[in-house]
Amino acid sequence: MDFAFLFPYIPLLAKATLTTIALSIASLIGGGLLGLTIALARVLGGQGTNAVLAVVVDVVRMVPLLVQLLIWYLGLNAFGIRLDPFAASVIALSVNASGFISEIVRGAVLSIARGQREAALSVGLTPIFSVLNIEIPQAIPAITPALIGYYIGLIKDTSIAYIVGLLELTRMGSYIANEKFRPIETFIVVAAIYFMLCFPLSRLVPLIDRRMRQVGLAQEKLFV
Amino acid sequence: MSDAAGTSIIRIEDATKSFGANEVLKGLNLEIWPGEKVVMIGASGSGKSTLLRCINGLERLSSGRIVVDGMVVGDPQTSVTRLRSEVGMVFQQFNLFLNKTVLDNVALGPIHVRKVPKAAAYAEAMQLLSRVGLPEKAKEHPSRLSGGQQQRVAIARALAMHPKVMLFDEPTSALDPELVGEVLEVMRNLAREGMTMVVVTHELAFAEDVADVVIVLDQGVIVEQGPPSKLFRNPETPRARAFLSTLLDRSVRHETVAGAGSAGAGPS
Repeated sequence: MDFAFLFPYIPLLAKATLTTIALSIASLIGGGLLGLTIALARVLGGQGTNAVLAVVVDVVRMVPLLVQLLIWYLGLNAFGIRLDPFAASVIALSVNASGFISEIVRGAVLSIARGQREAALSVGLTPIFSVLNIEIPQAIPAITPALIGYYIGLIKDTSIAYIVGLLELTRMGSYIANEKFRPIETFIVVAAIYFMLCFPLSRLVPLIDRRMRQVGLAQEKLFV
Repeated sequence: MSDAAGTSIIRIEDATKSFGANEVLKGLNLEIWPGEKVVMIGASGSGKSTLLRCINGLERLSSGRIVVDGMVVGDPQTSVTRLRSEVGMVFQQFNLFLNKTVLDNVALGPIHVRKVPKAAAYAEAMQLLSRVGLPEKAKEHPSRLSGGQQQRVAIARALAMHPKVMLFDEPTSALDPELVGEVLEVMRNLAREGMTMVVVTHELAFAEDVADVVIVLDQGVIVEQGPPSKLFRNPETPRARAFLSTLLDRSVRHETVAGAGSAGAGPS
């Protein structure tokens, strides 16, 4: 096996890697904001709000991401809204991420002792103040490792943007492989790049988890 | 009670509360007057805590109504924020905000609800911490404090809202015996200063000293009420007698086991 033919493609691979990273970060932020909003609405809203959002979250989580992306990209196209591949991918990945992230946040907030909310209400503070300033900060040790774990999956999921023609890492690999008729070497390198993006994060999870558990006993250190 | 005190600060009318099929309060009537100290006793499940939680609107009555200082609890016209500012609540499990310092625990309500400027709110919070004997703990987090200290902070937190009534839901039940005294001491001082207090507790000595009225709850109704001197020595109803005898029995055993415990901790 000879990888030398790939040297001229390093700039292109680097650019595609950056696109993959940008797509994953944009989707994490989009999904994070949307997910937090959904979690807040479900924690604070009435039964009706909760039931409607539960259905939305289920739909998002039970439909293949690839299909969701095609619906956003082709579906909106049919209504005359032309999204470029990057925007369509960010939207699809964000909406999908929001379904999972909202569950991470909601679960962690619900695990905080009820008494914290009741004490906040008892001095006249509002439920939303309690959730944002008292419950979520205490839920961060539970949220953080789960969120990093989710983000690893998200980085890998960005490869579906291939289907709408976005020149991210996977599509670039396919382009180089076709041009050089060397698919095996090319995709080994592509795989190695994904691995290098994800692996350090995966090592971070148990580390942060342990650290937060330790600090959790003397919780103050987390919040100063 | 006499009419001389004017109007009652809490009026409970035919209050019922059910959780599903479980009827916890079964038509309860009670009037509490400004400055009055009411101690509620009763077996677990008798509805004491639920009643307190209905008074500050943490739970909603199934029927009947509760009026606090002219405000109907749960009425759309009533500002929940104002109601809860006037009614302080102290919980069995303290429920201090674990991610906030002691000082922030006390000052949070004044700053965000009463809109007191920060500097003034912190100054008053420090005063309140001095009043409960913990000014040196202001910068600590609750997890660093003993249960008794946490509960004293919780009392300061409730007082920071300038409540007209203080509700105590078994404030010493979660404490080690040697920490009970310091909390009761703070409560005694509060009583002496004239605060209206509704206290769910099994500390009979405290009730005897402080209470104007002791109420015995059983299965969601008031079975007997009266001054502690009379009620403790000469309960009229069999159910009150039965409950008091188990309580006295328990506290005698408690004292022999715990030794000087709660009796020795408070200077009073």
